[in-house]
Amino acid sequence: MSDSTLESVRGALIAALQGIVLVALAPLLNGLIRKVKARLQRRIGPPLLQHYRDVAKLFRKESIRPSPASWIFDAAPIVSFATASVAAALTPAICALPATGQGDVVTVIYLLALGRFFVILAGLDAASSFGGLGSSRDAAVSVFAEPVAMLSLAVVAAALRTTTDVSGISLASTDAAVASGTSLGLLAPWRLLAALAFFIVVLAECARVPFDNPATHLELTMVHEAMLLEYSGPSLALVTLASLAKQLVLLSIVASGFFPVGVATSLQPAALLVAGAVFVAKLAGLAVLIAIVESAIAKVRFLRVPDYLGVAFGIALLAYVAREAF
Amino acid sequence: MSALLRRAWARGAVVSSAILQVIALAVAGTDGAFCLAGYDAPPIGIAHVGATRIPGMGLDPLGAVVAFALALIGIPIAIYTPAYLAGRHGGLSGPVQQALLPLLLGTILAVVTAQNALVLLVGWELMTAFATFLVLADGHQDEVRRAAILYVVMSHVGTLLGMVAVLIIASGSPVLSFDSLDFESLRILGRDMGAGTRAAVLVLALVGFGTKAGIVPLHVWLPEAHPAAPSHISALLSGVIVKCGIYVVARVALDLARPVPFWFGIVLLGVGLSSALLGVLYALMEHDLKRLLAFHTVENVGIIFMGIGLGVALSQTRGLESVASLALAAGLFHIINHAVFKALLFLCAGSVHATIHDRNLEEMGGLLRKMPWTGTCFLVGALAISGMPPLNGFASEWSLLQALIASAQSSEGWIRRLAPLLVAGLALTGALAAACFVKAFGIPFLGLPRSEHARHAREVSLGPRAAQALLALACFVLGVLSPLALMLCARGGEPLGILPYLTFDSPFIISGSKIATTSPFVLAAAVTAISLAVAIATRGSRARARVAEPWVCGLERVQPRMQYTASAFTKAIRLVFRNLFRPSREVEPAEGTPPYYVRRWRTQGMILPVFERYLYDPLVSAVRRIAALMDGWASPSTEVGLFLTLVAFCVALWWAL
Repeated sequence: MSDSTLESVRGALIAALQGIVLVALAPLLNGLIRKVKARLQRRIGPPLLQHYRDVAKLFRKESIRPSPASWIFDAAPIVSFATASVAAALTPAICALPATGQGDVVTVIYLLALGRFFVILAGLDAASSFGGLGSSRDAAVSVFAEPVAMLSLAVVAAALRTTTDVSGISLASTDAAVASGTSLGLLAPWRLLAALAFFIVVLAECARVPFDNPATHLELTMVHEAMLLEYSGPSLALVTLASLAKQLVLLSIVASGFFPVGVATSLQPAALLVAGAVFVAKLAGLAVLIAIVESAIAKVRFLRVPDYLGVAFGIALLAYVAREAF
Repeated sequence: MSALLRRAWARGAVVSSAILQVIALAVAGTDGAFCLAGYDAPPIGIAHVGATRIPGMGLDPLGAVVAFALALIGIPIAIYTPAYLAGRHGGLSGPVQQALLPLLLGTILAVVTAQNALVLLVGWELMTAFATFLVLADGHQDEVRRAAILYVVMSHVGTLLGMVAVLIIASGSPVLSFDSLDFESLRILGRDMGAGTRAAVLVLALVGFGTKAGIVPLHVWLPEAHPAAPSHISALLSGVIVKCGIYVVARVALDLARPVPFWFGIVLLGVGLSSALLGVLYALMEHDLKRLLAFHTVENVGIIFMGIGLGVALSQTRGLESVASLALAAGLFHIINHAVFKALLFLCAGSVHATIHDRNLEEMGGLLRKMPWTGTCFLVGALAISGMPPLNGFASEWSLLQALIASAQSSEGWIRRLAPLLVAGLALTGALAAACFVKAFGIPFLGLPRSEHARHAREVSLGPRAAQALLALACFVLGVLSPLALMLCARGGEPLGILPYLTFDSPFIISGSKIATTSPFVLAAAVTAISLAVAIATRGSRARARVAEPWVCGLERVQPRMQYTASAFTKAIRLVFRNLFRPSREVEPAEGTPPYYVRRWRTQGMILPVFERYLYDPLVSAVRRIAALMDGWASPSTEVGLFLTLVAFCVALWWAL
């Protein structure tokens, strides 16, 4: 085998490994968010590993299909799980290799959109009003979230004078941070603002407070859960895993895409270990942040969701301007 | 017996004409593909036989893009048409339509291969004429006639402006002859134009030929003409004829009037973004399936113009040549992509209309179970137009988005200022399109049937199914092989000096300097592999699944009326953009119900068509007023009128001396 073939095989293996690890860790991350949130509210809360138990149990349970459903209803959990796993393999996380390259972050967003397209359709497939309600709301949220996500990624690429490639962003950040200190540094205003805008998008995309309440099945307030209302058994397990994986993927874009500190640039075991520890620490920090946000603010009325995302758009635009000014 | 014989004869004529059409288009497509790939032309092509060239015609990469798109959708359309026409009743007879179709296709090819302004304009006018005849296939209906007249009038006013643009370039020549209108001589004349003249030419060409392309606010004919025409004609209108408008604007801007000024690139970007956003927003509010698709054509034309505009604007910035090339390639590639998925969607819409005789989304539902082939093909088209990986729409949209992101590094202030808005605008367009196609697929094809017709829908016959499947396959293949396609489309920029700077390492990976990397092929392979593995692993539970009624708050059975409707689905977006849509609603007791105990209500929601109300209505009434004024001066008899025409003609001749 030639060198370049070897390199790309190695890259593919690393990506696959990263995908498996991230999907496996996704329930734990959400467990952590729930635990911290519970402690903030002076509850004990469910055990950290509760999601694993839930999923394992769901896989053993019987499946029930609504009578009007078509093959879309069966396909949606599978497609959303598959797209979330591939996104997990391609998202910036622990290492960034210049040569093999996992591709770019924009593709990750597009992949997640494909999964969501199917889940929204599945909501309409069961012919119940709840599914339609959830689908309609989820579609509306995604419409306003997507531009902000793209713009904040564009800010990073533009500020670092690189592309939206995972490796490009990481390498430019580390080099630049070392070379010039402040203006391209990890705490530069544009970076903080862009990350904040993207973080608001993550809250919207992952159906978290203030956009949606992940803990409720109250019809007036739910968005994401309403789409999944008809699912049961293994299908429910798959969509649940998919949405947890999506949350981890988006948070790791915040952690390693916007703040690629500690990302390994070689495949030395020691470097990978350090990078892994830093990555876990960053994710834990984000989990605590989400828990604090969810405890501090209330879910807004659905029609005010665009206001929040409008503010996020303003922040991203400010980040673009700040990139020139500071 | 003789009636049977006549029918067999007509059917035979239609089928054999369709076969000839496939052969002719295959020749055209091969010629186009060879031209894009830079190979020697095949022995027989569009504009030549052997070494003999048809005078005033010839194929170059820019025209080859449209010719290739035409072949790509024309062949499935030819397969689709015989069965579709056999199922239609009333209006123009099947054989007559089938006879007009090759004429239309021929004139389209004449437009894209013209190397002479006269050939171009004659081809252009004939194209409009044949397209109008075919739009008029159901001309016994008033609304169809109105739509056709709107199309012809707007098209002609546009052509007039475009003709002026061409003549302004040609006016530098001492004599006006066939040869002086050759592109070769126009290019030389174009180079010496002053800045003001050049601006006039560019703006006139954009407005004139852009009318055909359907840029906002000149788009109003599209949502009228597309639903009026039979579906395979709508597919051609949207897929290629609209593209001819883009092609001629690009031909003038990139080729005849070059060097094109920087500001024109910015104008194209602005026109593109506003067409894209307004097109998709109006599409979201539409419940007529074919009108919805027509508004999406406006959106996609906008995206194409954004690509071309960015290519033009960046072509004059040092250091971003590869980005200019990518932007232009993305725009030209989107011409092909949009042709393919929009033709697919229109053909599927035609199949649905043929079986349930309705275009209103609110009357459909549950069609996927009745029409699995058509439904699945429509889903592929919906995914492609929404830019979902790994299909073709993703490749061109992603490339354009990457080019916009990279353009933020331009040294040109205006590009840097506009880049964030363009990035967000394109992303918003894509997200709105996805929401719209969730609606356009989910409401008619999923859930329960909302009407008696939808309950008795039946799958279409083999020919239409095969045509739809071919186009769906094309969406997939063009997506997976998009790096190759982008590479070839990049050659369309050669006249402008935008050389193909894209690096081409493999036919499966899009990459280049200053451009991020993606591979639709890898995405397709990975997602398919995981999906298959999971599907196999969980097949047991699906096989054992118990079928039950969905949860409807304790009621016994779910009713079709409980489902979300198309208008309910988009309500949140309608409210957010209420300043544009100005939605209003009327609720009143249905007819025949007692006023004190109303059992049935009638509600009607509507949005305000802003452009029709505030731009075209005043225009029409102004024209009417002027006409009324002139009515007083009008000549009492035809003879006097003819005499006055003669006088005007003589004065014009005298002036020209």
